[in-house]
Parts: sequence; structure tokens; C-alpha cells
Amino acid sequence: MAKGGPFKARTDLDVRSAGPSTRPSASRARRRDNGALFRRDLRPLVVLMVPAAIVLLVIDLAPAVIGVLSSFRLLTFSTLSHWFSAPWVGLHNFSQAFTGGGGLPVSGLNAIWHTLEYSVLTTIIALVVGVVAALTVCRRTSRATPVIRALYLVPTALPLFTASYLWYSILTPHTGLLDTFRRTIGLGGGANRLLVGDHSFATLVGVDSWLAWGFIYLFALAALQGIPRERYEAAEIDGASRWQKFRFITYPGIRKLLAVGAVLSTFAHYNDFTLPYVLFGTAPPTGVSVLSTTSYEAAYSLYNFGLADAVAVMGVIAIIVPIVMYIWYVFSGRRA
Amino acid sequence: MARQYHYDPTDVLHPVVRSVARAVILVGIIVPVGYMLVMSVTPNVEVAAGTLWPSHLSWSHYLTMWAGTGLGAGMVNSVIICGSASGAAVLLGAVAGYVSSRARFRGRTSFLTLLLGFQSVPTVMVLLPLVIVMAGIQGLLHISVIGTYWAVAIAYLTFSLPLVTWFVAAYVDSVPRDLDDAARLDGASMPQAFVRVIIPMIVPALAVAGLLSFLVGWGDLLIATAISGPGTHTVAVALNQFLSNEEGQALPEYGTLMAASVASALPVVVLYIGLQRFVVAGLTGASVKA
Repeated sequence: MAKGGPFKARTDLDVRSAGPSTRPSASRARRRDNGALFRRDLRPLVVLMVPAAIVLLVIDLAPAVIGVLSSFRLLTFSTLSHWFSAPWVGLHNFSQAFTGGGGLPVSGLNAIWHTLEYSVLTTIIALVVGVVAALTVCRRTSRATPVIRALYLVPTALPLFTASYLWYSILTPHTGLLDTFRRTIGLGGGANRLLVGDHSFATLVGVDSWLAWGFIYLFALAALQGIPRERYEAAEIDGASRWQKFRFITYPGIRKLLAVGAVLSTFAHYNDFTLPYVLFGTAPPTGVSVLSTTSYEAAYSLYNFGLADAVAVMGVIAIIVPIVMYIWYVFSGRRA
Repeated sequence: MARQYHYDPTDVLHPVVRSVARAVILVGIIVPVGYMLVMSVTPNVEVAAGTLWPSHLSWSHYLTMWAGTGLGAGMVNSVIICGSASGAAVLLGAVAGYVSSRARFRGRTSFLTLLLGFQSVPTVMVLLPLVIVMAGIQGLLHISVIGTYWAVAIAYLTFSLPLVTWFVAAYVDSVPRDLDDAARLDGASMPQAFVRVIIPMIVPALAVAGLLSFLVGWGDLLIATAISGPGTHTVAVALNQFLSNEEGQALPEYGTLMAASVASALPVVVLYIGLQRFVVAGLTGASVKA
């Protein structure tokens, strides 16, 4: 990749790296001059950034801080309106969240485990399906290709609530598409048990993968189109196998953009409330008691808002560490 | 053209594997979505009893669904709320993303990682503090906040603004600084260079970010349920109320509900597919330069 040009310019523009002791050539000096101008000139833009910064502070940082602080307080329906005077209870909420006390359907650890398992599995399935799907349409082979590309986008384009309801009605015992179809082809008239008990976890993963792969597909398709054709030509001349072409050309070419898609996708599943709520209702089977529904249960069924926040904080801590490490690995590691 | 065949990523999959995969994926999409479309024109009695194909097409669902469901108002509200939220996110995020990409400051990577990290904060956790903040403003300034359009829009900004900022920053990172410099040498001020040179280059990225922000709001149920009022219910809330009204009925109008679901999905599906080329171009640009 053509990294040399812009990259070199960037370091030169950085005043700190081009120190006074350097004996600059004419062009270097001009560049450094630009760099100085550049920095001074950024000021009006920084001023323009103030509204964005304020909005970020007020609507993102403040609620996050309030959420964390709430997790140390006893917040019930009656104390909620006097948030500042709500009594401190130290780590009480956390110990309840940890052990699953206080009426929680599952312990926080269980919820975190279910959620991690579910979001990682879903993202992996979505990655595989998304990349394969992109490979089937990245070259226009017929007049049908644009139509297929458009169709591929439908599951992801469906609003989350609509898609969740669609699958709920497909899986509804007796009258849904699944059971009706089974009856029609003579596979017995029994009701499916996909929405209850042990099968519910597989159902959740399956349905969410159906909703999610299109997002990855979009990233994969874009990344594939950015890979220069000459590399495949060279590989072909060198007699590379299909696997080698994928391993040494395709994969390095789509890796970075896929990483972005995978991180965004993992976050989206990790916090998804709509799908588990629509599929399993307010009292889901324990296998699908994910963080968001457990926290929702604590807040809006038990009216123990401090406990709800403690569950959520535990969830954030559990995901933030691996994801931050991953982002640093993919982005800053490669840039150096 | 036959020789070209080996020279692109498509060749990584064997032609047979490719055809099979394509067929399997298409069936996987068409069956559920087709079911939705068929059920939307199936008489309510037959949907409730369970059927694969209607005895006669009942197009009337698409007329009756507007009455008493708040669907129309919900769609208008969703357009207003999601449109303004994603517009604001793109406007604010473009500047913030550009500055965070071009300015060299300590902890820049940490800042960008933090923006992405905000996506990991569960809605359930943000929701309650947001309600507390809004109720606080309401009591302090004696204005109504909860239930207004802009309160819901601001709530959606909590997710879309960090995302747009991060996305734009990542994209601008891939736009060579030489372009800024060229504009500067031609006598443009920095804001001018940003508006005239950079903005046209990052339009695809802005389109992706704007579209994602819009979709998040359109599909959300949780925030809208808590913060929107009777006059500002979004389309998801309208559908959910319709659903819970029907659950207990002797003759649930599931066919009508499906028609309403199709109607609620249609605008965003059209938007998504219409912008597809744009979105892929935006992401491709990022990957070429990254």
C-alpha cells in the first residue's frame, strides 16, 4: 500500500518530531512552515468542535458517570427523584449483582457469560457468512448480481424491532411458519420448543446472526473492492492455490476494515435489548438472560435501579478490556 | 473476460461452492421475508390459525392498519426524530472527527478508543441517568423535556455522535494531509480547506455514518418507550403497542400487524438499498487508503 508519501509528510508536519536541530532542506523547511500554519489554523475548527464536545460530555459522559455513581447507591422508586440524597450502600449492589441476589433472575457473572458467548458466537457466524456472501457477488457476473446485492442487504436493513417480531412470529409454536411448515410436510404436529428452555440460546444466536451478517457483508464487500486486481494476477502467475490467494491477498486486504465491522457488531449484540425482549419477553429462560434484559429486569420489574446499574457496570468492565486491547492491537500496533 | 476470472477475489471460492453459497443465502433471506410479505396479505383468521398460503389475498390490511394504530403518526415522528438526530450527529461529528484526526495531541488514540468504547455502554444503563438528567433540567428550568421530539433525538445522539466522530476520524486519517496542504498553499484558511476540500472527499463516510445513526433510531424500542410521549411515539413504539393490544384479543389481527411491519420497514430498506453504492464506496475508500 502507498503508505510512504502521506505518512512521511505527516511526520514532517509534526512540529515536535521535526526539532530545531534538524538541518532542513528547502522543501522540508517549507513543509515545516506549513505545519506551523496548520497548527495555528486549526484553532477555528477547535472552536467549532466545542458544541460537539459539550454534547458528548452532557449526553455521554454525564449519564455514564451518573450510572456508575448510581451503582453504589440504594435507588428505588421512592429515592429516584432525590438522586443526590439517595443513601450510599457501598458495594452492596455489586455483591448482589455478582451472586444474583436481590431477586435477579441470574447472577451477573452468568449474565456476562451468556452475553459474551452470544455476542462472540454471533459475530463469528456473521463474519463467515458475511465474507462468503461478499465473495459471491463482488464481481458482476450477470445482470442478476445487482439484484442479489440488494437482496443481501434486506435482513440488515429491516428495523431491529420489525425483524425481531418477524422471527417471533415464524417461531411461534403451532401457528408460526416453522410449525405450520412441519405439519404440512408431515413431520408431526408438535409445537417447537425453540423459544423456551435450553434451545433458546441457539435460537437467539441463530436469529441474531441472520440479522447481523449483512452488516459484515457490507464491510467485506467494500474491502474486497479495494484490493488491487494485479495482486491476484501476480498470484495466478505464481501458481497460487485458492487458499493461498485468500490467505495472502484477500485476508490481509480485508482484515482491518473487517476488524472495525466486527467490533461494532460485537458491541451491538452485547447490548442488544430489542431482540431478546421481543423473542423471549420480560422473563426469558435463564440461558438467554443476557446483560441488557437482566439489567432491565432489575430496573423495571424490581425497581432497584442501583442494582440495575451495578449489573450494567459489570458488563461494561467485562467487555471493555478485551475490546480496547483488540482495538489497540489492530490500529496503533500496525501504524507504528 | 474469461481470463479475467482468476484475477479477482471471487476466484478464492470454487465456482460450485460460490453458486451453492449464493443459493443457500438467498433462500435464507427470501423465506422469512417472503413469509412476512405473504402474511401481510393473508386474512387475519388464517394467520392466527397458521397457514403457509392465503385462501385469498386480503390487501385491505394495508388500508385498515392506519386506523387506531398510530402507525402513520409514528412514522412521521420517527422521520423527524431520527432525521434530526442523524443530521446533528453528522454535522457535529464531521467537525469533531476532522479535528481529532488532524490535531496531534496526547492521548489521541485513547480518545478515539473511548469514542468507540461508548458503543459498549448498554442502553439500559444510559437510559436511566438520561431520564434523571432530563428530569433535572425539567425541574430546574420549568420546561418540558421528556416527551418532546428533541429529547428523544438527543437520546439517540448519545450513540450516533461518538460513532460518527470515530468513523469520520478514521476516514480522514486515510485522506492524505497533502490535500490540506495544497489547499493551504492556494490561500484557503483551515475551515475553508475543510469545507471545500475535505468534506467533498468524506461525503461517502458521512453517508454511512448518517445512515447507521438513522437506522439505530428507527429500530430502537427501549429509549423511545421511556422518553417519547403520547404525541411523539416512534414507529417502533406504535408497532409494539399494536402487538401488545393484539396479544390478548380473541381474534388477533396478526395479518394487519404484518402489514404494518412491512410498511414500517419499507422506508429504511429502500433508503439502505438506494444508498448501497454510496455506502460501499465510502467503506472502499477507507480500505484502499488504510
